[in-house]
Amino acid sequence: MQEIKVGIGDLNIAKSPYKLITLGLGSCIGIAIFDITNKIAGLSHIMLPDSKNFSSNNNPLKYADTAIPLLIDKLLDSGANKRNLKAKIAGGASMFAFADKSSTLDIGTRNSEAVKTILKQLNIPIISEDLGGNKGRTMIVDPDTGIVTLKIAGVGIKEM
Amino acid sequence: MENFLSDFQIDALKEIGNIGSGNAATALSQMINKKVDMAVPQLDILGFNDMIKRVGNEDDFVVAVLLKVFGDAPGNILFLIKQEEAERFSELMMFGMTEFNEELFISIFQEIGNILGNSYLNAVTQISGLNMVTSVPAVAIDMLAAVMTSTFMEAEQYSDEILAIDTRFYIEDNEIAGNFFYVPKPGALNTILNKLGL
Repeated sequence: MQEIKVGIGDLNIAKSPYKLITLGLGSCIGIAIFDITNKIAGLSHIMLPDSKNFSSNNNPLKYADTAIPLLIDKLLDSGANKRNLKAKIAGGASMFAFADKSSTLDIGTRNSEAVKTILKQLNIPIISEDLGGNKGRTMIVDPDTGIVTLKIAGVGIKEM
Repeated sequence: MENFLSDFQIDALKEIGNIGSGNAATALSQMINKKVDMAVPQLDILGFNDMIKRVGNEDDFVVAVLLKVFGDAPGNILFLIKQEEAERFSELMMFGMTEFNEELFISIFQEIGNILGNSYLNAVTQISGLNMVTSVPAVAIDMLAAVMTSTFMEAEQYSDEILAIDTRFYIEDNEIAGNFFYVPKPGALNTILNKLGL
């Protein structure tokens, strides 16, 4: 079965039998949004919480606040029904454990909070999440079953 | 991001990278008592996906050592080595000891990161007269894309195009190779260039 790759700071959609995959989420977050009735799904790989804090926000797909609405638009344009949309999210790790926790501005945590806030504002329920920790994740999204498969470094394979 | 650098400035920064990497290679060679070669340093301003491709595939497993740089020109130093090569490398560092566990493995790479990072940074501070110190090293054994994105985000490189000075080290006639990145925070390179009158 063919997998459509989503790069860093990118998004895409797929219909069954295709799957979506994004590799090596660290502090970044993968947001999978499904319409299981119409067997269509989208996946966004964001790097930063909020485009408004940055002057050079030239790629809207990098930021949670701009990427998620674009992902939803793309799903609706391709025949998804807004009322069916549900989200599964993964990532937001802090990869390097430093002793001086206080001095690190933890992008992973800020990304996680931003993604949850934005999905709530857009009335998309989060049905499953795997956030935080200190391990990288690869995310595979199947529009046919609504299953997200995570490959977690040093841990193994997990379904959500 | 800082792609307003002139060719002359880029050459100067590469030369500093060259001296820093040379220092680091010498220190490493003395420590393991083996020949260490290095490639000519590169200064690249690339998109994320291209920067990662310079090292390998996004889901390649690497041992990554991160040192934060504090002071006049802050940023991050990242040393990357593919996992299977890291295992061979750690054997070189064991000096015949046989008791081996993950804790020791991590501590070996902390020490390598320390030596490489600080000998690099010493060269930069000596040339520029700037004050810079490093944090204790942190080690992650994980996917290449995960450690690289985290390193650049940590260095506040939020633009679409990211900047790094990097070189490759070759140990034992190319059997083991590692990538060494200096990832400056925005403005840090200008501080170095200004100090040098460039």
